[in-house]
Amino acid sequence: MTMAITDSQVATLRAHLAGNFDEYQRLWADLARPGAKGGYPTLIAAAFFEAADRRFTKGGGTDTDVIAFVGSARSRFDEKGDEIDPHAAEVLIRAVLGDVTETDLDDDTVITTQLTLLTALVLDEQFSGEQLDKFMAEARKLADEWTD
Amino acid sequence: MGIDRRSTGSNANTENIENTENKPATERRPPPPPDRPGEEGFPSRADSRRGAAAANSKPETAPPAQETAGEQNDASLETGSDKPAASRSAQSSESSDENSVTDKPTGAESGPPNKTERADVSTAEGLRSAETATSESTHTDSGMRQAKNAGPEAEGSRDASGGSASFEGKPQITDKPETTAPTREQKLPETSDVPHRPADRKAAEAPLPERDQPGGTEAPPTGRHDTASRTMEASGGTTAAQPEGRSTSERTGEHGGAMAVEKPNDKPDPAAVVAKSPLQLTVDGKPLREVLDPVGAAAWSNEIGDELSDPADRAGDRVANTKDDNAEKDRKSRAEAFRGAFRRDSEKVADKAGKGADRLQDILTRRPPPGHQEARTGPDVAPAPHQGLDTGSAITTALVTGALIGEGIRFFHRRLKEQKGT
Repeated sequence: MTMAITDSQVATLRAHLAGNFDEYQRLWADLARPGAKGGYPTLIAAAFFEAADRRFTKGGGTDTDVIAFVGSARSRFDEKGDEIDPHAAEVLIRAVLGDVTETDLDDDTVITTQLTLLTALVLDEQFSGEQLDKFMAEARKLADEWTD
Repeated sequence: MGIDRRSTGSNANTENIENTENKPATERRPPPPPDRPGEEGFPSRADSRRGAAAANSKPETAPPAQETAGEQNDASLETGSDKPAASRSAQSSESSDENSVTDKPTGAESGPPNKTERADVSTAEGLRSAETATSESTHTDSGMRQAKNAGPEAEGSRDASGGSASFEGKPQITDKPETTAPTREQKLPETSDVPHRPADRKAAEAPLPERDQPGGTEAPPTGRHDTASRTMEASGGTTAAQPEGRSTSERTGEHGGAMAVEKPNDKPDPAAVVAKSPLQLTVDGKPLREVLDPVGAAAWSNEIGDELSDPADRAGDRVANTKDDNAEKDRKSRAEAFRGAFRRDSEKVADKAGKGADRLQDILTRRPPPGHQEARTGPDVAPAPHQGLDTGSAITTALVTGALIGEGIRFFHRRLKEQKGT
C-alpha cells in the first residue's frame, strides 16, 4: 500500500540528516502509530536519489568516484566491516546514474544501504539549514511523484 | 531558263552552272552596287519596271520557240529573244540562261544598253536568282526534286544569294555568298512589282498556294520571296519551294536587314527579350540580382556572421540550448528506473530504516571531539653527550676508589691476624 509523504516523515528524516537526534527520536516515536510510517522508505529512496544525483551526475560519476565514496562511507559507518555491503552500495549508486536497472538485493539491504549512503552524502555536502530544507523539498517532490 | 529546265531536267541545271563557270572573265559584269541603282550599265528599278511593262505590252515578239518550249515565258526570254544569243539560248535545250544574260552586254558593247535591255536584265536577274538558286541547290542530278526536298532553308538561302552569283557569272559564289552582291530586296521586287503577264497578275492576286499542292510549287506564306516566287512560277520558272518562308538573310544575316525584319518565323533574341521584358524581380526596390550578388560583396566576405539587430533578443537560443532539456528528460528517466528497481515501501522496511538510523546515530554520537592531534616535535632518539670529566664524577670516582682501598687494607690486615693467631 502506497502512502503519501507526510510532513512528519519529512521532518523526521530532516532531523536525522541534520544531526538532531533527540528531535529525530521524538518524531520517530510519533511515526510509531499504525500507518504513519507508510511512505517513509519512499522518502528515503527519493532523498538518496536526489543526493546521489547531485554528487555523481553533476560532480563526476566515474567508477573511481563511486568506489571511493563507498569506501569512505564504510570507513565512517561500518565499524565491524559487515554492516554495509559494498556491492549493494555501488549498485545503488550506479542505478542512480542509470547504469543499473535491475537488482536482486533484499529489502533490508536496500533500505539500510540507502539510509547509510544518504547520511554520508548529506554530511559531505555540509548543507546549511536552508539548503537542507530545499533538498528535503525536492526529495519530497520526487517521492510524491513516485507514490502517485 | 524555265525552258531549259523543263526540257533538260536536272542535267540542264548542272550544265548551266558549268556554262557559267566556263564563261570568260570579260563577259562577267560586276553586280550593281546597292547605292548606285540605275548607273550606267546597271539597271535601275524604274528601268526594270519600264522594261517589264514594255515586255508585257508586246508578247507577240516572243519567238515561236519560246511558246512551244513551255508555258513559262518570262520577260527576259521574250526580250532576250531579240538578241541572237538569247534566241539561241532559248532554242537550245543545252544552253543556259546565263549565256542569254551574259550575251546581252555583248550585244550592247557598241553602246549603253537601252531601257528595254535593262529591263530584260533586271527581270531576268530576279528570275535567274531563283533559278540559279534552284540549280545550285541541286548540284546533283536530282534537279527539281531535290530542290523541293532540299529544305526550305537551303532553297531560300540560295534563292537570295545564288541569284546574284549567277548574274555575276561566278559559280563559286553559290557556295560562298558575297556581301557586296545585290540583295533580293534590290532585285526581286523589281520583277514582282509589276506582273508582266496576265498569268503573273493572277498569280500575284491569287491566294497563296498551299504547300504540296499538285502544281508542284510551294510558295512561302509571306514576304517578298512570296512575290518573287509567284513571279517565277508564272513566268515559267520552277520555283524552289520555300514552305517556311525563310530567306537567306534569316540564315546568314548578310543580305539586308529589311528582309530580316519581315521574317515570319523570326525567333526572338533571348537577351533582347530580357532587356525589353517589363517583368523585373525586385527585392525591397532593388533588382534581384543586386540582392543575390551585391556589388562589393568580396569586401566584407571575410566577416563572420551577421550583426544582431537587437543584442538583447535571445529568441532562437532555446533551439540550440537543448542540453538542459535533455538532461531533465534523462534525469526523469533515471528516476523512474530507480523507483522501479529500488523503491521498497512497507511498514517492515520502515522499521528497518528506523533501526539503521539508530545505529548510525550511535556511531555519529561516539565520534571523537574535534581537536588537534598530538605530534612529536623532537627527534625520537636523544643525541649522545660529548661533555668531559666533571667535578661530581671525579669526587664519585675518588670516594669509590678510597672505599675500595680501605676495604683492601682491612682484608689483608685480618688475614695477617689469623695467621699469627693460628
